[in-house]
Amino acid sequence: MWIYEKKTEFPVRIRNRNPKLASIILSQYGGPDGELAASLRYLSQRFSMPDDISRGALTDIGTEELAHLEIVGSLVHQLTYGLNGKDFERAGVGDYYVDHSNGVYPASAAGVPFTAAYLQVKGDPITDIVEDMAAEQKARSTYDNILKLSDDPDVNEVIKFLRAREIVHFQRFGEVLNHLQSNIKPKKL
Amino acid sequence: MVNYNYDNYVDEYLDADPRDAYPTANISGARKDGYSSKQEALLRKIMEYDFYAIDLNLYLDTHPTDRRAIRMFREAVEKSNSLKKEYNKLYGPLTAADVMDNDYWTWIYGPWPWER
Repeated sequence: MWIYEKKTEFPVRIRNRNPKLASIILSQYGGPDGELAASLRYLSQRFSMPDDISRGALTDIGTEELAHLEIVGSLVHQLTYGLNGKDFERAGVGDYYVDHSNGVYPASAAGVPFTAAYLQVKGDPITDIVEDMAAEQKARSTYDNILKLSDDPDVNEVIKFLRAREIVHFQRFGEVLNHLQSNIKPKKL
Repeated sequence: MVNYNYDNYVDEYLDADPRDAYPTANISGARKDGYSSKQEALLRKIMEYDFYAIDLNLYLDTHPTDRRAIRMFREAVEKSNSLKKEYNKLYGPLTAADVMDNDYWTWIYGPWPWER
């Protein structure tokens, strides 16, 4: 289970509004390599993990991804807070406004709603951990791309934090993979 | 009974601060003015220790025999817990279980973490 603490994992204090940038960052909320997919992937895969190290790592990294989901949602919220439809329209994202107004909806930057098809739960520990390592790299690349598209220093500070966490998670999953390969005997086919 | 006065609702809503759109935002005791700088500074200290603990936690998941990391994790948690006690006394609860007031459910006090 989880208990909510009334704080974000990393501070989010964005001074400027920028609905276009918000619509780009939204991809890490509900897009193909976003934080919602990450948290659901790890928290679902952990049920079929074979030992305590893999169960622990997936539980804790999955939990941290939920904290990242909140950070990305906070970014989108603060970048659009108090703006009206005309503001969205002028920024070229009136199509987002018509369906969600100032809400934060889990979708990709291109507007595709979140789907569980973004993740896999194969029930095979090696398969799942290798997917997780790839997922961390894909998320890291997405944050790289956001940094190339954003020139807001308040936003970039937060994105750099999230990007750094993807690298740490990749490292931890690599350690889980090494551990499984040297300690867990695969079932005979 | 609250009268939402739907006739005027749309016009007013378009110019409104979204935080005024719901009557619960104006219950006495609920704050609308964000964090004070002192509150924010203390909260950030807590966030720093908690992040340090999260990072050590993940490291320990794959290095469960590293005694030095276990000690560092414990120190971070103890430091954070004592700062959280201070925060709770001065500014209110970080979790629902921390509520100390008997007359008002201070858990719902703003600001919530995502607010500007």
